[in-house]
Amino acid sequence: MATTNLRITELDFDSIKTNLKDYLSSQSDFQDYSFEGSALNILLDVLSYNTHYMSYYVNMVANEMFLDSASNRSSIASIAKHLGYVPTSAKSATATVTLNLTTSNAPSVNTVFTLPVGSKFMATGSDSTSYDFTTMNAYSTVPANGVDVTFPITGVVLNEGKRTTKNYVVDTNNLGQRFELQPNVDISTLTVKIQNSSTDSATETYTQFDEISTLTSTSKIYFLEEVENGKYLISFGDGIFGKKLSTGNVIQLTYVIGTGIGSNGIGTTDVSGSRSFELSTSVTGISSTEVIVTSSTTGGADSETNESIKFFAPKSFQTQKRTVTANDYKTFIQNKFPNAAAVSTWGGEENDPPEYGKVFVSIKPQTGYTLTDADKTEITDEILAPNKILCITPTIVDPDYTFIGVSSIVKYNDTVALSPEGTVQASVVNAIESYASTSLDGFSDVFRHSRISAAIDDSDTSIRSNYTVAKLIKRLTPNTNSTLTDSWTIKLNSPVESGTLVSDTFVQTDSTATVSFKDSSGVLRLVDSNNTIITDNVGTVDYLLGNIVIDPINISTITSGNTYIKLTISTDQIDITPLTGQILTIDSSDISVVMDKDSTT
Amino acid sequence: MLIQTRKYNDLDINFSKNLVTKDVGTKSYQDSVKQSIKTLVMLNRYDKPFHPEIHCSVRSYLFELASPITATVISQAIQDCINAYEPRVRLNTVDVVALDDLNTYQVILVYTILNDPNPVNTQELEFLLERIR
Repeated sequence: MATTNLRITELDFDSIKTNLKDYLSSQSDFQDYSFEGSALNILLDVLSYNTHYMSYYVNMVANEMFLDSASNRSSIASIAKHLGYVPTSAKSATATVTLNLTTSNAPSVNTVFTLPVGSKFMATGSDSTSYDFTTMNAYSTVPANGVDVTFPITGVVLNEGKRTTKNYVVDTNNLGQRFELQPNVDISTLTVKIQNSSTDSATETYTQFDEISTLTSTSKIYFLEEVENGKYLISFGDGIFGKKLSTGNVIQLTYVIGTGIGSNGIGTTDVSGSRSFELSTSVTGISSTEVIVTSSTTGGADSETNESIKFFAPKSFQTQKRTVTANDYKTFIQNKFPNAAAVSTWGGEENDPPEYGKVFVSIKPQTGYTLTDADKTEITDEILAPNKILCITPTIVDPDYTFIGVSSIVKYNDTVALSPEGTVQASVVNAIESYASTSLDGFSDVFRHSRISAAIDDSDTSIRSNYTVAKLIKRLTPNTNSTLTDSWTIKLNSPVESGTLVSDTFVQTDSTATVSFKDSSGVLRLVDSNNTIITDNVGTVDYLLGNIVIDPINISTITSGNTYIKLTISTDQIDITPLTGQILTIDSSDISVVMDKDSTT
Repeated sequence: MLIQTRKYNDLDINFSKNLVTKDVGTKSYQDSVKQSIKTLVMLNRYDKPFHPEIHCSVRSYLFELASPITATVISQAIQDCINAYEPRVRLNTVDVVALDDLNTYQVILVYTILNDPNPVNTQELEFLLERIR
């Protein structure tokens, strides 16, 4: 029966061609349409191909029009632009160093030694890659007397990457003129100066547009947006909103192009005789330099991913550049501070104990366990302070890490194992570490015993079963300065087992005995290596709530040489849930795997 | 007995002009089938969008050594293609002869059109395959 209505919902080639054949079946002039060799069939091929081609194209165009379905970076950035969202650029890592300058002879008093802007440094990362560093400011020092030949410049901030300057001469007659920055530019290092003309060197510094309500016709601002291929485009005011540029003005753009996340962590091994950084350029009048790391490189991050833009652009629009709710703080920090791997925020009224008028922010950095003081200051002063509502004080607290010690006895069939025992054991350890990195390490991530047990079973085909026990570990970092006293209140949020608490050994300030913590019937004691009680009742343990209180104590030396005392206690809970601001994690040093041969199938 | 046949008619693939009606030219009956067979023989792989399996690909054999073996392979390829994609005919013979001096294969197909009211009528299609580039 003839088809009176041409179906148009099918978009693939074969369905379109079938629909056309159905349509042609209603006429009698040409009946060979169904034979593959006929001329009419070849015409149907062309028509169907063209229709399929157009429908595919239209489908892709429609996909790119919406944030949820767009896949091209330029489409995503363009849609985010409508929401007033500028994707976060790559960020170069920064380190703070002290520069010890040495002269051949003692310089005269009041001689000024200057480390100029753009001074170059070099360092090698943990990946054995050589990284360039540069200074974005000039630093000076004046020797205090005419005797010393070595004198320091402190607080020198090094930015990883190459400092680059690009100039554009404005031509207002050229309507297509664009001022672009290449990808991987760290926008936070961008300075924009406008020179009057190539013959008039007077310059004015322009700042990035932030708030339209404060703009006037003379506001020295520039607009920033991401365009195609991850490039950033700079534009200027039109004479109504922002100062308009004139033909002949010279735009001077200075910025750093870094390598992103790879350069984090340089300087952690910096010691006298083996310095991490070296100065590549010379300082006038200086014979040698030593670069001493004050804080190692942090903050390096890659440019924002497509998924991140899709997630944060609508939320950024919802917050309207204001931090009102606790979730606003989270969105703000994750958007503006790319070094944040996980963020947790809660109001002071939810804190234990409550502190009204505060918002608590806890941030896990991309590398390491806690933020540096410089990072915390940047977040509170530069990111949160300009956007917070009055009377609310944002307070950054370090995440409260609860480490989970994993001990596993793994039965495996050595007759079917394809690898030696050591390799199977390494696979098990990898599986545990992989579970930690994918399922833990975030705020509110719950430790699931069955999941880690299943991951161990699946790590090698020869594994028959495993018996895995998880223990809770806290790291107590005392001030080993003899004048300071420490006390701790530890909340594990899980019932713990009586008599299972053990700790690393340490020495108290007022004693020579090497002791450790041990619990009995809810009372915490200090015992020596023979379990002889040295000091009774130095704290309490609430086994039901999992709360441990350690009374004030002076600790002078930690036997292990670490900066922390490891406190380990067993729990009878299968799954472990963190409290607000807590993170559960597994350190590779806390994993113990024992292999047990089991030849039964 | 009344034998009902299906009417085969198709566009002329050369898009010739009908001198009387000024309309596009058509092919009917045996001519339509013949045009279809010729088109199928000339089809290369991927000529049909999304259907690379519909092809005869005699072109690919024209760089082979001109020999009876190649002629046999071409003959088999033509038979496979016609049998699979031209249901209107039953092939009787496919003769492929290598004309060495002319660098050409002569192809002679003899077939019967199914549904033909007079089935004893066989059709013959003859053409030359020559590599021109």
